[in-house]
Amino acid sequence: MRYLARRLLHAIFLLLGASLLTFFFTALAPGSYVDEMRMNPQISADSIAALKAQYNLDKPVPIRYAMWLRSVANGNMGFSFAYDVPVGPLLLMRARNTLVLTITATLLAWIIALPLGIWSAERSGHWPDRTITWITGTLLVIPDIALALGFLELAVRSGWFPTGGMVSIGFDSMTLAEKLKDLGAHMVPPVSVLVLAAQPLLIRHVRAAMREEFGKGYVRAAEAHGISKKRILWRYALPGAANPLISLFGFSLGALLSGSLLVEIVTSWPGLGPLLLEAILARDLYVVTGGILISTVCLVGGNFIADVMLYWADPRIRKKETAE
Amino acid sequence: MDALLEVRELQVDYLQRSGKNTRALQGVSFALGVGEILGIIGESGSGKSTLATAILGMLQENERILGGSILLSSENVLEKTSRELREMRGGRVGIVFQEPSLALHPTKTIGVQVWEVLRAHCRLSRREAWERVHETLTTVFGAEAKRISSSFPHELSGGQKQRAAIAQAIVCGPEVIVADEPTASLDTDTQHAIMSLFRELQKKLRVAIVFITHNPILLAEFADRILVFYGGRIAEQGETKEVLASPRHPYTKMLLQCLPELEARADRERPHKLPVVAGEPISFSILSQGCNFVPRCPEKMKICEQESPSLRKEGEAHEVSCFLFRGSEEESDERAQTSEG
Amino acid sequence: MPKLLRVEDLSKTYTSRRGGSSGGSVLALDGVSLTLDRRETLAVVGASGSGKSTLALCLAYLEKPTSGSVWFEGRDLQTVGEAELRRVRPKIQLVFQDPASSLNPRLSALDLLSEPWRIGGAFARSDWRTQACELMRITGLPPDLLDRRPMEFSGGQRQRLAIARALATGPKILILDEALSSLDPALQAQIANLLVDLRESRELAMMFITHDPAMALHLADKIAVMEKGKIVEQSTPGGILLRPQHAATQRLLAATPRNVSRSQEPVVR
Repeated sequence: MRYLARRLLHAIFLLLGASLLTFFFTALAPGSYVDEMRMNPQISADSIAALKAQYNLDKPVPIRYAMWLRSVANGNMGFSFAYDVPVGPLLLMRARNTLVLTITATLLAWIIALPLGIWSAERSGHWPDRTITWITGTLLVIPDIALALGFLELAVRSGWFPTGGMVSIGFDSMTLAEKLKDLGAHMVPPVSVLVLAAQPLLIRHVRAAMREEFGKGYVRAAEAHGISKKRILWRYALPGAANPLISLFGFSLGALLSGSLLVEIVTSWPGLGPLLLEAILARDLYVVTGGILISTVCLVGGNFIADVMLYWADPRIRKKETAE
Repeated sequence: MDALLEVRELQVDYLQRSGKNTRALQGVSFALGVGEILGIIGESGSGKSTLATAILGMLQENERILGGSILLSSENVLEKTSRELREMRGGRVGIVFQEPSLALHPTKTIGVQVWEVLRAHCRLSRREAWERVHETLTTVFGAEAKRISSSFPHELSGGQKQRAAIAQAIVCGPEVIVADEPTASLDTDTQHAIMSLFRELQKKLRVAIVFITHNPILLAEFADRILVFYGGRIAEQGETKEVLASPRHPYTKMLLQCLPELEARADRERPHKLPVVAGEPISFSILSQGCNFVPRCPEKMKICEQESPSLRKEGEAHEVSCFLFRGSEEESDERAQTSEG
Repeated sequence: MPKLLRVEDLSKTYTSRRGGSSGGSVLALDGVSLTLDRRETLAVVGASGSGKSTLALCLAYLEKPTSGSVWFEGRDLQTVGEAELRRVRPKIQLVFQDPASSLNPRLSALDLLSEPWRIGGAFARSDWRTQACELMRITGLPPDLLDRRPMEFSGGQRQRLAIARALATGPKILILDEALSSLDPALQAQIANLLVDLRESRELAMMFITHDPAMALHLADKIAVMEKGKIVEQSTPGGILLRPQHAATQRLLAATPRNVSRSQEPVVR
């Protein structure tokens, strides 16, 4: 338990540190939201100054950080200049959209990569392994953007699925079944890209972890005791490979909010990606900081969940805590 | 008495990438009776571990059987289907490896690991199975069985881990146990305890044991018969007392003499040197003509380089594979030849 | 002249960083005292966990003892400065049990052997090859292996290489921590003979750590039996064999299998 408590504390410090750094870097970067307006001759300098005061942009950075922290505590997380709403709810809505995409993609990616990786490891050196390795190699080299654009091209040419966005116009008036179908169709391009892009990393790690297991003494010993190959795979090899795979899964969880940024932008999916991009360009300080903060929360949280899972799965880690 | 396990003229090669194959085992033949303990002495390169895996039908990808047979109760192991092999392994032939920490799964308790072996071979209800597991663990651990059953391997000492591995080997009541250097990684105290355990098990369960080791002294007062392996061939075999007390083959002689004797030091001032032959066993890629001990043999003769000796009887229960011992009628012939050649 | 090595009341406690409820510290050595002189071989025997390896590490000063003193050539290593320690280290060398993991697999034999000369400057670069050849010869290795890597050596050859490496610094004390335990009996005998030779030719003091009493008794001038971090008995081989005092010693002797071979004509003289 002490191990987990320590990890939790560690996580909290990490979050504070990340928020601090992000805030300061963004705030200290030259320029602010109101600078755009200064270009516009119609807006007087006084108005700009008044705006600045209203948004507290004239106060020194550390004070603004403290004010921001307070705002985080009550859920607002500051104010978006561009959208004119509190940041918190805005982020939440966008994050929900992102999660719809990434959770689906992550689940699918793992469901595909695990068996392929295991099969690849079992038939190491033979044609299944070689083919899979070649395919993942190719996928690795193709950039996500190229894949996304490829799918969009396909969408345009074939008309099988929509070319962007999350839902069609008139979504609200559809029946539940129609809604699901519509959402699903829109999800195909971005999810496909995410799943394909994740395969090389996942398959290679699964393959490496399983190959290492197959070479282990206890797998050979189990075989020597007459235990069936299937049982050895499920009860001996997979649990043995659990450690590296759980850590990898932690990364997958951690990337739930941040991994789809690029793909969302290309396919016009209204998630955190496009929001953050706009906010950065517009110097919408609190949106940027808030967005990065929740991504970091997700990352740290994902790793923490992995820690918990490891603790539960590996008795040797549990042992380190208890007295000899 | 029909032999329980019989190996006939077994020949196994290692395939190497360079194309040159090495002969791992050549013309190996021996028999093991019910309840008998057979000791196999061999250093590295002698092929002893290959023999162990061959008996289990578990040769690696780069090991190929070129000839011979391994008969377990008159069924040829080399001709079994993979399903039959799986039933045999652990069920009729148990195995104990050298490194118990490598042979046990790190995140499963000992009880579960023993249970898995049982489950693979016997159709028992859950309750009966666990009773049997507990029984086996008690045989091997005594009073500590319950605690050990729910322990993980990293919580156990080297000796305890090896006992756990032994429990896995015997839980299904096999007829033969193959033990491949089971005490090599243990310290002297523990080694002694494990040897005692083996003796006990043999008496109690009437199981036959093939005990492979590189230390001949361990086999004294333990094995019924001994096989001495060198370079993939049997150099000498016979009853333990006989072979240890009067070894015939030059290799066996050297092996036994090069071990430090406990008593020898009692009255010596400075340590003396051990009488050992220089050199190490080398693998034979060419199927060498001639005896494979020739490069190191201090008693080699001309014929040794030309022909490879086969096992000949030399005494009641003693066979040697060496041209020094050809049986009396042929001896004079050989002498005549070597003096001419 | 003071003894080459004198150890007084040496103790070593290992504390683990994560505390369990007991504080998680282990007393590996508990007040160990011994001496070692030139051309003397001390064998340290005991079961695993008795503290033998910790003793080796402390004497080679790879681990700093928690208390007690280690006197080398009359100077207390606990009190000398870094510079002096650096001067002393090459004189006490350690050979481990597993040569495969103690030899850098990426370096050739020549590189491995010349490493101390590269750092310490004992020989000029042009001399390295000759000196390395000599070391190979002394330890019974064929000189044409000089440019090969440890992985291309056989097990026995690797251990010889490890010994040659230890000799490269010109040590006065050689500590062998279970250096023979993983070898076949014939190889053990060969390397034991090598050690006997080295002791004479180089006037080495040797400390031989093992759990095998037979080899210990064979090689040593004096034997120390360890149990739970303490030396429970120290005597000559004859003394240990004929009059073992402590229970641990008696247990160890009882557990050692006796060589029942009483072979007649020795094969090699």
